[in-house]
Amino acid sequence: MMRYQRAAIAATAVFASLGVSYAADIPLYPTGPAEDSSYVRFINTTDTPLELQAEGSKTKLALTLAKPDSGFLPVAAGKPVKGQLIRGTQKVDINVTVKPGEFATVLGVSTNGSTLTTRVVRESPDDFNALKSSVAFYNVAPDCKQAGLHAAGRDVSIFKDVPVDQAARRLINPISMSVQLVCEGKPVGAPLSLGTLIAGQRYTVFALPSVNGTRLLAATDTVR
Amino acid sequence: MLSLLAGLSILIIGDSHLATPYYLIGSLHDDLLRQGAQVHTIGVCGSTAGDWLTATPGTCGGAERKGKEKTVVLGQAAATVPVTQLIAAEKPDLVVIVLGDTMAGYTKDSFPKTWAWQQTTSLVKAISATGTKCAWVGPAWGSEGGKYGKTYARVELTSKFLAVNTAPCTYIDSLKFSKPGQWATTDGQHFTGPGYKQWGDAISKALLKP
Repeated sequence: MMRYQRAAIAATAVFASLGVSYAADIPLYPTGPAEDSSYVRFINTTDTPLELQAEGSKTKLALTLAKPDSGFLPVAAGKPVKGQLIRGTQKVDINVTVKPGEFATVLGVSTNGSTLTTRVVRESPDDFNALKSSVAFYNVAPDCKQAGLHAAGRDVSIFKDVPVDQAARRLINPISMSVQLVCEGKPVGAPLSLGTLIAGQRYTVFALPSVNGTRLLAATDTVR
Repeated sequence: MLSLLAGLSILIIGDSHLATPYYLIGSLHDDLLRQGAQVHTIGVCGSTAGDWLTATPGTCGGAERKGKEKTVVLGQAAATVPVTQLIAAEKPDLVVIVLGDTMAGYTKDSFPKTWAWQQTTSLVKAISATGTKCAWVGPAWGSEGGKYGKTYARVELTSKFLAVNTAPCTYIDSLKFSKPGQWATTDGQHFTGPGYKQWGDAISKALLKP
């Protein structure tokens, strides 16, 4: 027994003399979160300001015409996000539950210009990439059942046949870009400039209903 | 021959791989010193990228080493220092980030990509906003199993994720430095002395590449 103790002491002394200790025991630590992050954003697509009121809170978030996008707000996955979108006397309930890793977008929509409704589009992206730009296309326009986006002025399809309330996303080289909405194969409305895309940045282009027909709206996907 | 790193000020931050004297805070730090760089290393065990944006206490210790001084083991006092604060105070020519294993979610069914994306982009943006060059050292193979449940598939996935999400930092792919399981570990994730020596040597060589 003593022999083994001496051997152990000698071995420890050798490692210590080399400045080496292989006995270091790092306490166990987590190698990631309990669950993946989840986000919700709210976007006002109407032609009047909206307010967002979270359930159980007196604080209101203004979704103005100048700043209609809340940005993606971190939320707990699996727990309902409840509140109301408010326009004057109109109040529309919101109740959204988001999965781990999911991004949900709640849009305040007014198809006929007077009635406020909400639409929810979800995506669970896996294309995170700091070297490219990521562009999504959300079709929220009931009149554009198979929506697409073309590079404006060129017969190049970026997105094709996206059903209503569905999203598609792809990586694009960071270039200057304008897009043209295509419904059932036919161009609709005027092209929309996205400006010069930035590598690592994420964008969403929405096809939206309006009193003047389906239109496009672009947003930068900021995370708060 | 004069090293390209001679005279450079290098700040190294990261997780437990920098938090014990014979880990990279020994081998990599020594390599860079030998090449004439001024080196400051801070390792906070269990830290993730986002933890380096605000002062965050470590959960399992840490260590710090300045220049030729000995490593100071910080124990329970270990905490991150916001990287922007470190950059403002030290004005390093290069920030080296050693992170990956703490963000891999080894015990989870799926890689927490959304969380990892937010973590990595936040730190990279904070550093690049200062105009400081940076290099991100990704995780090494280790060995499968152990108390962290590391797997080769997940560490490969994590490394591939970091490779395309840490720009404009230069990504240093540690998986290219050894074969899976080649460097012996004590717990699947942390290497024995020879492993850290080889890892440190390989990183310092990679930093010399233009």
